Amino acid sequence: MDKKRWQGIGASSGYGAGETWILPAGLPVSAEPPESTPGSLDSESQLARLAKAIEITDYDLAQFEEQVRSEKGEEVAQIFAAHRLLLGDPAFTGEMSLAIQNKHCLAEQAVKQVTHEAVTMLSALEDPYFRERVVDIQDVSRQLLQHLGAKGKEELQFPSSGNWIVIAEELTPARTISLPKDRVIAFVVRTGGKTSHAAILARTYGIPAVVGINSGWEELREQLLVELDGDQGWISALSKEDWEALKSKQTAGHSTEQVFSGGIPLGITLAANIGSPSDISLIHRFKAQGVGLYRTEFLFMADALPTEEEQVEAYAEVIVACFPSLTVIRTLDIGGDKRAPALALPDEKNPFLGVRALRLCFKRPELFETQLRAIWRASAAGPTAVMFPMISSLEELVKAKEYLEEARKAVIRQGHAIGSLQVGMMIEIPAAVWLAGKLAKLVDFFSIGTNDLIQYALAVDRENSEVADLYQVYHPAVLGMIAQVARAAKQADIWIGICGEAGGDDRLAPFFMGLGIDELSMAPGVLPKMRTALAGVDKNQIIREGVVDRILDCATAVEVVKILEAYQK
Amino acid sequence: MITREMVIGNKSGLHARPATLWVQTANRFQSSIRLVKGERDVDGKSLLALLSLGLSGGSTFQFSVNGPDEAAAAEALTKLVAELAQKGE
Repeated sequence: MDKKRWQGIGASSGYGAGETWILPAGLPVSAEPPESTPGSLDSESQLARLAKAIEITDYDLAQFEEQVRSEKGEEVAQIFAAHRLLLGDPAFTGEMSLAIQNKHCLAEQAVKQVTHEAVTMLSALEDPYFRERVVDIQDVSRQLLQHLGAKGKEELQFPSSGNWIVIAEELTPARTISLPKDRVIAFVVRTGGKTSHAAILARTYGIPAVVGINSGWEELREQLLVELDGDQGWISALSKEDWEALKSKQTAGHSTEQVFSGGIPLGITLAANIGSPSDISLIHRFKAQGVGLYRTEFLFMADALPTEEEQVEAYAEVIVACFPSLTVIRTLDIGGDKRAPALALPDEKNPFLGVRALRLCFKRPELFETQLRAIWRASAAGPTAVMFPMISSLEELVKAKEYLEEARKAVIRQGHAIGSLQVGMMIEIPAAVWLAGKLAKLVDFFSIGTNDLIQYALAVDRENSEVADLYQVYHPAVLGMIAQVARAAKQADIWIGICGEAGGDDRLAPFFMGLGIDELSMAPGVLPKMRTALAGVDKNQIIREGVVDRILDCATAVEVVKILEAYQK
Repeated sequence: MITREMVIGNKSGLHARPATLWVQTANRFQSSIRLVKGERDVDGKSLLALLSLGLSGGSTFQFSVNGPDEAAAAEALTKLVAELAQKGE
């Protein structure tokens, strides 16, 4: 029997399979404006009701904003900051008050009328970026109506146990954030596109999502079991037998990802890139073998700098969660595109070539020393490595290691316990590629940060859309550099990892395997896909047929891709 | 009153996050701020009004600032648009 299948837009990477749960439709907010208005209502009391609803909604949103900021950083928190701006917007809530005054209508009617006008206006715009903001407007209005009603804050009746695929007509940021994200396998949403705020939140939390399903929605809603691919955007019905078979393959736990992933492939450690202790649930969920890149910037993005104690705690929490696998902590990488208000750094004309990462640490030794002491102390909790970013010369590495040694002595003097600490460095500046053989003698491992390496090697700012097409991970020069670093690492007998976005690029699986890369670290949600890709590569064949040398012999990215595709399952 | 002509240099235009930053910046100042695009003239401190202009990447608009801190406000907003363009956001 053919399986039923639906096609949408892949909005957040990853595979998911499991039972479905239908998110109840919210209150209608953008219906036609109410026809009759009881003209005798006391506007004062209606205005007071509206003001109260605005106040409570703002309180809720402030909490969401804070939660997201602490878990995921400023960028995503802005979604809720924008919703709060709407609550004080003269053209939005201001118009609602005017409507109450002029028409003597109920506060609910004023909310619906203004929402209707705003939605109509935004829907008429050509640019999809703007049209998608309709959902944001409706989200805020729905919360206002909720608080105007007797029900108060919306309580989603999510099942109290088990993991579920959430099926929703539409998904708003507030509802996304209200769901227990560690028990959501995936989202399937009828409306919206890749730039909707719900899609952004799903990606941030590593939950696969398929959105924009144009046909067959009613039938899809009736499915009890589905599987889906958040990269290719398909959803497929799952029979009870298939589901039982998938489940019985599981060895432990209830994560569906494991089913799909097969075994751990061929001696490559698959680790996670994370940004804060709140990502620990993702490490477990996607079965990461430790953390290959722990970005510590998040700690420094708050209004005040973190104390040594706070840092010890934030590092140790992750180290304990990863035990017995390794946690690789990268020292502060502020500067470039990452800002930290508490450091009050001056603007630079060319921040990517300026006082960034280690360079900043050398200029602000107290920052660096505090962080290194905290890392040493946290190392007592389990297997830990420290990794220095943005090294362009041997002297910098030597200097960083001196700081590390001083920090070790200081921590011991203070009577704290320490563990053994691996010391490594990122390779992300082309000069470090050239020096890899020399640098390798001073460290326990290399980790290639491909995003910056590509940007610096190809002289392309990938945020600049005018040149974004020149940013090519398959560029023969980029792959040549990766190979050179890997060979230098082998020669010096140290391990080599990749922690840039390329590390999670399944197309490169044959290349990485042929090179003998020891560790790939990536966004947790990408792990299942990479695991599958690696499991489909025949290492013996790759070596026998000299795939790496053939790739390194290519003159263009197109030629490279052709070879890679020939070895894809 | 200060009036300036601006070009949106970032790809996706003055939508969501960039518009939010604009209003957050505008709200720091007492001066009244108006945004003009073609026939339309809207409140520069209203997120909804700003979105309604549909300022996509590459489009132009004028803004005027009127009030006690107009010079600082005009400066801050000009700088913001330039920064957005630089970051390509």
